[in-house]
Amino acid sequence: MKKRSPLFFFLLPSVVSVSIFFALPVILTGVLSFTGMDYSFKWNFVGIQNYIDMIGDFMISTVVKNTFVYVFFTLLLFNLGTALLLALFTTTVSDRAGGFFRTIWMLPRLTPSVVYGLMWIWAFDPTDYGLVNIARKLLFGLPPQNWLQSDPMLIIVVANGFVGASFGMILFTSAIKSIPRDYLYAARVDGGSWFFTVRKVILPMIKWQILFVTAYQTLSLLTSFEYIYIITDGGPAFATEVWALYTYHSAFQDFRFGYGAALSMVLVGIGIVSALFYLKFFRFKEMIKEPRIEVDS
Amino acid sequence: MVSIRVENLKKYFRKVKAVDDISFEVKNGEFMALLGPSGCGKTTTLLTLAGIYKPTSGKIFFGDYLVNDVQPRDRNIGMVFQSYALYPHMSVYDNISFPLKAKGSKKREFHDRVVNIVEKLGIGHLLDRKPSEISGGQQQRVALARALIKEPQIFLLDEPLSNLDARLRVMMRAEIKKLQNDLRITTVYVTHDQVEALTMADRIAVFSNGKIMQIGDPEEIYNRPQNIFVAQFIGNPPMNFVEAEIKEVEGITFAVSKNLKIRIDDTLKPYLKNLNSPNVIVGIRPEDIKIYKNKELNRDLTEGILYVIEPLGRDEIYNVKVGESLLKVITEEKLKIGVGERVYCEFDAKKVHIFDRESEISIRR
Amino acid sequence: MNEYKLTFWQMKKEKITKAIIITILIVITLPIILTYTWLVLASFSTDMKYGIIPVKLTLHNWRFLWKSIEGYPPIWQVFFNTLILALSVMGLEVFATILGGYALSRFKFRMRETLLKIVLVIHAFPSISLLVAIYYILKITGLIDTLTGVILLKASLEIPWGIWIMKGFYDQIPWEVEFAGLVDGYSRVQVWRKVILPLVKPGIAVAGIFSFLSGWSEFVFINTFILSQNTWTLSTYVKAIIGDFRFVDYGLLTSISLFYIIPTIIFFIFANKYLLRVNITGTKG
Ligand SMILES: Nc1ncnc2c1ncn2[C@@H]1O[C@H](COP(=O)(O)OP(=O)(O)OP(=O)(O)O)[C@@H](O)[C@H]1O
Ligand SMILES: [Mg+2]
Repeated sequence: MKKRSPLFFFLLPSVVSVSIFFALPVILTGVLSFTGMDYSFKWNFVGIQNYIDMIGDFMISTVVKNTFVYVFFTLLLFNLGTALLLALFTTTVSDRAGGFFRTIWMLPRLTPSVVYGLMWIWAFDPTDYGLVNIARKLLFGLPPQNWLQSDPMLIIVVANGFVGASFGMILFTSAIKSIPRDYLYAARVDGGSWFFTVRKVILPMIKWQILFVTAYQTLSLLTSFEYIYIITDGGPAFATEVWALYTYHSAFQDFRFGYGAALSMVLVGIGIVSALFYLKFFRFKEMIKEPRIEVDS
Repeated sequence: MVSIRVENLKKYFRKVKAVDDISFEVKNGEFMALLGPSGCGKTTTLLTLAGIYKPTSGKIFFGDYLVNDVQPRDRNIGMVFQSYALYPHMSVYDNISFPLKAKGSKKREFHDRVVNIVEKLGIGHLLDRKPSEISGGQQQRVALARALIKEPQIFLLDEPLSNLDARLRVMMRAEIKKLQNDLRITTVYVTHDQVEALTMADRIAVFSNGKIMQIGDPEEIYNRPQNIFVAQFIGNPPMNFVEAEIKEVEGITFAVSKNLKIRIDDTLKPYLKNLNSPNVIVGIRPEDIKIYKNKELNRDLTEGILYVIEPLGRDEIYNVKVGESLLKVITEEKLKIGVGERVYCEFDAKKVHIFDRESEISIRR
Repeated sequence: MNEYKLTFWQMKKEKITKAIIITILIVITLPIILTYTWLVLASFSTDMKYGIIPVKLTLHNWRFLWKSIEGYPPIWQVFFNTLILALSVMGLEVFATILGGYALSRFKFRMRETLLKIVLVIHAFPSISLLVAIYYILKITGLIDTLTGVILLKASLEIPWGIWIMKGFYDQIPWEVEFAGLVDGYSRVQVWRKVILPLVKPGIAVAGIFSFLSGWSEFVFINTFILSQNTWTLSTYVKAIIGDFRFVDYGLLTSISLFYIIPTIIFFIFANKYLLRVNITGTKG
């Protein structure tokens, strides 16, 4: 009898678990999207009815607009903008100071989302007990404002941004640090101001990382809703209801599992397309070198 | 143009004393080479001159001006790196004009200057290419052009030739020297290659472990090494060293060891008073030894056994075993001697170097 | 003494640039520093001046540790649920990834490249979009509303990340080490267990710590798949309290939150050196 190869033993746990909780759900989401399943969990196939409903759903336009605003501004201002700023700044000052600021910026990412959400709820507290209102009062003498009512999207963008910036920050920092120092010395000797050097030397040299972060973070933001759910839960009056959150509400609040699956399929579709895009563009071949030992397996 | 004066410069990286209290001067328009083995602090010295590193202590003057706190961009220097540091995403034209753009000049203002310098360096046809699309020698020229385009007062080069193949290196050596000669620009040139230093520089500073061992023109460095380090670092094949004792025999002074006896020339005798003890190390260059097949009369000859011959084309290096030590002798004339045969060596008494064994310093200090 | 002919601006430019940069860094980092400071201070004080300066210190806010809040499960039960969740996720993930990472690092087989691509894709894939289908799977397998279900799910979804990290650590071990083991007569599995595994302890630590923290912090899955209070973890507990006490008792909210993030803070203090390096490939958000 043929002996079981050790490879089987090594791969089994991962393959089984990933199949059950990843591969299967991807397929299942597709199938469910053609049913009108609700909390009774009966399979009643309705064809493409869910997708037709989606087109007619009066919420969709609001949701798409919110999603766009949320993704665009968080990405631009924080996940790219602040990330780049932090990477450039912290690599300009001393290693010690730079490391300190980068470490602080890692904090939000490690903090459990509910606690992190609480801190922003406090920061934008409508009374003069919240951070933003205190600052306004101390700096400009203005009365407290109810931010959650007046500018909910701002809060969402800022709260997500403070978590999101660290991803790009770390990637950009290591990219900047791996630029051969002679380039930077040459630029200093040749008289470039800090800004000129950044623009002409550093940014062109980390453009792949910038592109990667843009692509990767766009997808992350499109599908993220955790902090929004905690801080505003899509409110007030759907002002912060984004696609992923709408999906969640449809499925787990309204128990329209079929419809929720159809909404999910849009995200799954975007996910698959982006994944193919990454594989094509970011030379993954280099990351997956062949192993050198050639023991048959 | 401007002169450079360095006073008691120190640069420490934590515990590492990369540059440890050096002083030297580069005159206006002079070509100075910093020569030394790997890790001796040459690059650190150069980067401190450029203002990239802040000195731990000490002073750097350009002309009469103290420049310790002047930023690199305000020091008016042109610099060439070992890696060339050509920006890979810019064309040759953009690379060369980078220093001018950095200063805020517009293309119509500097275009002529770029054309001018690329003509001089023979890279006019490469302007649209990226650095990765041109050869090593061409990259080298682009780096030179970028350093010279802003007409700097001081020219700093860090091992600019070490990435080139041997033939190109010889060519560029001459070219850089010519360029420097034409422009008469104050130049500091870092290298670990003694041939480069000896052939190109007006003066050489020999470094070891963050300290300067000797400064002088090539002739001085070669013929009057101040200490054993310089003596053995300069010259190829390296100088022969023998431990000996100074003795007077029948009114004649000799350096004597177990197997050989070298007469001290009268010109050297006055310096012997610099010695603290009779224990010395005698150094003699391979070309200052003559080799004979037969014992000739009236000559001070030392007997040895031919150990191995290294032919070098024009010359030959004879390795001669005298007692335990191996002497290298270089000569143009080809002697018909076989390995293992007995030979006789004669030392050129005028060219003998004598060092204190304790301090390793030459008696002709 | 003479200075190199310079204007004031030229002389000070570098210093001024650096000062501006530091100032901007401080300003944009201030919200983080202030909110975390507030979290700590508010939990130990009765009232705050300007919202952030403690007026009077107290331990009153921490009473939830010995006296259950009315209508909520006892904190220690919730705490143990969270601990079980985090430890189990850690155990499962470490187990699966030390195996899987090794296979992808060291074995040569037909599907290798495909598998690696799948790992990468899943890593970037928004697993959150699969919630509906996962709900169904948990429902029909009877794992809905159980900690086991969430543990299996959470560990599974973290596995691709862990495999990628572990593969990186395995890749760094020279293959000669492995070859020596094989020459000594070990089987492939023995070599892995006796020779290779001890060499990737740092990798195990990294995968372990990060999966522990991610299990510890998990919110969405608990919130979605767990209904009964008995199975709550700290995240759902805190979320429910925020919902109830929002405008009432920041003192209570902050002290519970602080209690919740103790492991995170401990880890943060001891491992922040590695944090910046390791976390690059493995983050969401
Ligand atoms: N930025 C730095 N930080 C810490 N140590 C350094 C740094 N730069 C140089 N050193 C150390 O200082 C010493 C001198 O280095 P330097 O680069 O000046 O040598 P070098 O003479 O240029 O050698 P090479 O011929 O190899 O280029 C070395 O021991 C080196 O390790
Ligand atoms: Mg060097």
